[in-house]
Amino acid sequence: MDTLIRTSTLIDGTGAPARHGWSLLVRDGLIHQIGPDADFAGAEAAVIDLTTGVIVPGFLDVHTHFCYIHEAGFQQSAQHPNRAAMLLAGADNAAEWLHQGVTSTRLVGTPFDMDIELRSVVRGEKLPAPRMACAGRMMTMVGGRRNAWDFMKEEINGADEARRWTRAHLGRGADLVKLYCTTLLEENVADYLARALALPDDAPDPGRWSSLTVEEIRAVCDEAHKVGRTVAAHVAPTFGIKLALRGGVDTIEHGTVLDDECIELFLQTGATLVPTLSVMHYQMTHGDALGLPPVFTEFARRRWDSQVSMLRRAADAGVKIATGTDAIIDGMQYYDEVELLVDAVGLAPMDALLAATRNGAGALGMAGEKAGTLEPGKFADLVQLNGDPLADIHHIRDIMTVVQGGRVAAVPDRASGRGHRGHHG
Amino acid sequence: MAETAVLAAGFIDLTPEGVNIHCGEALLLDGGRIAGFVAERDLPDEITRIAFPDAFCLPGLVDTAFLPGLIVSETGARPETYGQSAWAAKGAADRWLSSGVTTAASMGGAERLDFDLSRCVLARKLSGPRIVPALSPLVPTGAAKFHRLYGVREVSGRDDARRVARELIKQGADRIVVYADVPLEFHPDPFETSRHRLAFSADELAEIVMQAAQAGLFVHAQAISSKAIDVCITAGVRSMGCAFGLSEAHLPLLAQKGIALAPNLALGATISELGPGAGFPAGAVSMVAAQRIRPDLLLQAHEAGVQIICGTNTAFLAGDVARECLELHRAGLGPADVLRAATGHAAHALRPSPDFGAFRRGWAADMVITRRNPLEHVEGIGEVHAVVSGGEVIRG
Ligand SMILES: [Zn+2]
Repeated sequence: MDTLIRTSTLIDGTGAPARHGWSLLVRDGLIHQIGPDADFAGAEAAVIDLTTGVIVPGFLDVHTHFCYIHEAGFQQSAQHPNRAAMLLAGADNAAEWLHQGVTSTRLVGTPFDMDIELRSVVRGEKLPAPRMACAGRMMTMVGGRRNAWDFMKEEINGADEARRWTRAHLGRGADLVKLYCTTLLEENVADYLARALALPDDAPDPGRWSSLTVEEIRAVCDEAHKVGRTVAAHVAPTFGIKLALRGGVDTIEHGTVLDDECIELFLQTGATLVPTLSVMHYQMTHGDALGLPPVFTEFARRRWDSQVSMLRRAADAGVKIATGTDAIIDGMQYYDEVELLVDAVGLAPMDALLAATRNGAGALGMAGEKAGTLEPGKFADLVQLNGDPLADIHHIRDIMTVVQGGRVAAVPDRASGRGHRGHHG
Repeated sequence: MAETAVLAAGFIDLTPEGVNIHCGEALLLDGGRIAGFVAERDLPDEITRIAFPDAFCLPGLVDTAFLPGLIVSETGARPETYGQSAWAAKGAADRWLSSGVTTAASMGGAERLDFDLSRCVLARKLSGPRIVPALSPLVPTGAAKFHRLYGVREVSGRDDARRVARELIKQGADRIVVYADVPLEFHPDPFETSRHRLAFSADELAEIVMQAAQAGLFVHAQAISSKAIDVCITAGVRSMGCAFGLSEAHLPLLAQKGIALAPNLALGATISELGPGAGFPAGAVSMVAAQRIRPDLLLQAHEAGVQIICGTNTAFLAGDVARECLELHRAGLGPADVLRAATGHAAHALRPSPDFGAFRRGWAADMVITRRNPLEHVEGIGEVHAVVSGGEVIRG
């Protein structure tokens, strides 16, 4: 049986203005038809009435890690990373994100490929969760693991090895490849940050870095793209952004220190920037509570203004920006990332909404072909908001209903504050 | 100073000397542990009371044979990967706890699953009984195909046995589980039990027992054939499960060496009831259903002084300890002995000095609250009103 979703105000995520009095006909979880109510007179379908508030596409978080366990003591007490705990945390976090209106995600790096395991459990048990594109474990260069607990990366050396590893990893079920392109080799990070703080803003990075070569990155992208998968690159300093873009990656994660040449490369390659502002902002504003040494917070503050102004410049130049939270800290929320694009970067609410929806679809690769907008053939994934996000972006956190595949997937209890990471303890 | 008092119509306190039923008394708890009994009328006003006025309270149940890796999930799917096993085990752990099991000793799980689960329970990330991990159960070389999701390790020879036992202990096993003899194939005829089995020798098992003893751990053996039972007795394991090939001649030896017997009766009973529809090969169903300890031997064993303990050893939805208790009762054990099998005796078969399984000062505040007095109605063990685990009340 088809489902007819009736709406009053609908923003379809293509950039078109809001529609009024439109409906969506859903067949097999996909949008079969979308248009004015009159087009659906006499349609035989179960009706979902969402005629209050504003309908937007389900949100995309293209950089998250559901299965992280943040209590080092818990993991260390076992002298062993606890995969059962990762799976349980993953299921909880996934449900929370769905409650926040996130209907599709990219899990960008998880030890032991536990995200791929989580995806199979979610599917098998039909658990409430966003759609998940999984990167499994990360790939980095020999020497890219910097401490004993850095068990989530595998090291390669040379393009041939990179190619072999990529094929094997795709064979394990990965939907994308996460490259840890640059690694800081400083033993004492606080000391490195202190040295960086002493330099003027435009001075070259004072750290010692190791990185993948452009040939290694190219080999990975070549193999991934053959099978419709994408490549996400974790990069830190400016040189890393350029390296990864020249290697052909699909997304740059964090990419905190842009310059004009980087922007030019983004435009040439069509790559997407996933700035993960909220994790940096959270560390900057909650540094004490998180127990970070003061130099971390000081460094983050110092960088923040230039980061957001370069991000604005990139957006104005036409660089595609997508939302990714890197939500690895209890207390973070998906909404923060979208709101920072408006409040800190200065994007128009529509552009922030597009970053939260349409712009992330390409980053998901094959898995994203049907995500991000409300158009025929796309997933019937949408969110009912109790207010117009184009008038005030903060309305995105006022969620009434989350629909996934044409079914009501979550009706958040707005009074309870559900939607915080770690809410279940 | 105790912070909480549990009140009930009666507390069934099973001591080695006999059965005490505490009426008109309250059980004091402090920091999740038992602080002792006190007359209800002497309770201070300010103490927090948890009252079950019409119900009976007994120590939390102990399952000596929990199979986290093989549990069939709520949707009926059989797990294939670590993640699927972990998710199915999450459901099972919750059900076991709700049915009154506050301690469950694992029979092993692939890739350290039972260890991971045990730590999740301790860190309160998982609702379930305290899990005693075994990590990899040990089988004779050649028997690994037996069950992949057990995560079995193959062992051959005394040196190998020593190495593997040392490794398990280092990796955090709280007891060691061995399969003393393993069928080469499922055979429908239960009287074929002594043939076609790969089996450990007594010196291999003795080496494992010695290494475990040095680390303060016990060894539990699943043994099928009469010969394998002989080998386990010689090696001096602490407890033995299944034991289908048990005979009169074994009984005095078991009693003398203090080897507890877990007949795993619910397994056969449940499989007979569920039949081949549960997803097992038909040959396996008829074999397992037909194989059990001779019913008359169990009572004889008990009377000869052998400790009988509860272990479910089932991969099914509800082959639970209550069912095991009922089967023990049907085999002739009195209600008090059935309760001992499910609490104190089982606890003492898991650790040299347990701190759970009885109402003893300083021990874990684990209890099951039942509507009917299980000393009068053994089936009342399965009618759980509430469960208290480490002082925390969980509704059944
Ligand atoms: Zn990340």
